[in-house]
Amino acid sequence: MGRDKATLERPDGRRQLDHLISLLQTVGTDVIVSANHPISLPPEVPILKDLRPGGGPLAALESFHAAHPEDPVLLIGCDLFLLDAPTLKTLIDSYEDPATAFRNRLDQRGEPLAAIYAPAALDRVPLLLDHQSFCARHFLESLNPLLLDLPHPVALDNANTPVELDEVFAKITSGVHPKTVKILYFAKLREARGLDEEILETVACTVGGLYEELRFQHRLPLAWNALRAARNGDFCDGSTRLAPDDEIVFIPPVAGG
Amino acid sequence: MFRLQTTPLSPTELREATIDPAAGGFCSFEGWVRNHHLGRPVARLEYEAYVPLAEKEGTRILDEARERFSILHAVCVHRTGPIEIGGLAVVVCVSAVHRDAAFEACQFIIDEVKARVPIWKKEFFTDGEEGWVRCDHCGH
Repeated sequence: MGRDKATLERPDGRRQLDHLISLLQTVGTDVIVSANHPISLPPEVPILKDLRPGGGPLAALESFHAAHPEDPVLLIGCDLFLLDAPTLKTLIDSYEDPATAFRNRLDQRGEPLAAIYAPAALDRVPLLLDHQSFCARHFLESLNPLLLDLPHPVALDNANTPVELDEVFAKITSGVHPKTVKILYFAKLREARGLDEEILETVACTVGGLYEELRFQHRLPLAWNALRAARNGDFCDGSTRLAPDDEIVFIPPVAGG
Repeated sequence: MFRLQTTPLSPTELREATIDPAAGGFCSFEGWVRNHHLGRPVARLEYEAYVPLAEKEGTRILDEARERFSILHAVCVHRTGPIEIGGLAVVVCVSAVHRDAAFEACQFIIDEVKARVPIWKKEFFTDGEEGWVRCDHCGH
């Protein structure tokens, strides 16, 4: 997103990293922050640098395993703005070798950045990095992990773009209220979705958040920043809040004349 | 008056809508369906629109043209659905006291319609391929 998500301020003004550290401490875990640059932390929280910087989450796991070879690790992505204590407790209470994770609420695949890995499972991480294999999801899936259903479906929604950040902040400030909306599809999006319109229930709070959910679910071909949107017959922007029974249109690049 | 219609356009009817005894000049633009695009032969075009918003945005563009230029009347009608080669896709008609304003407003209206109004154009090439045209000067 062009910004360090760990140091973003949440709607209450608190740094995301500080929020996550407190949350993890409430469920009784020791917290280590994986970072490769100086970052201000509470005094009791150590920082762990990657042995191989640039290797993503697997490099963090490698460094952890080298420093704590006997311990399992609960790996938490710094961009989990909606993570909550019940979700963490469910994961910790259900932990089984070699790994335990949640199913993504949209595609049912395991989420590697809110998961517990057994020490034996981490033995093979250096080999993966040797082979330039950096995908944490592939690693998790290779372990045949125990996959759990999320107690709160949106708890692992993350934010990789500004429109997704608006969405998770809207969920933090307004809560999650499922609502039924009508979506009209035109042109390239109509063909990609295979529908002119649909009525669906969504937990999205914003128009842009709704699009990102649909794009992920249906592999829609257009990025949010290529589109305009309309709510109830008027142009709107991505942070516009959804209300029940709204009619939403995502407008691909236009080409009249 | 901005309108979408699925039936063939009548430039004469639109011209008459702009007639005014105070007008000293009239300018119109007709968008025609041509048989090639970027060097590829085109068999036909198909337009679709999000009608309520297209008519609202089109009306706003005509209002803006009346504010920016000293014109008397401006109308625009865009056709949707399939159109064969040589068919009329869009007509803009403007009348004004003097010709400069009529020319400028006419150009402004067609440029804004192409960039802002939710209308989409699908090209069907003679080789059987098809694709949605991407407006190359959209402001977003």
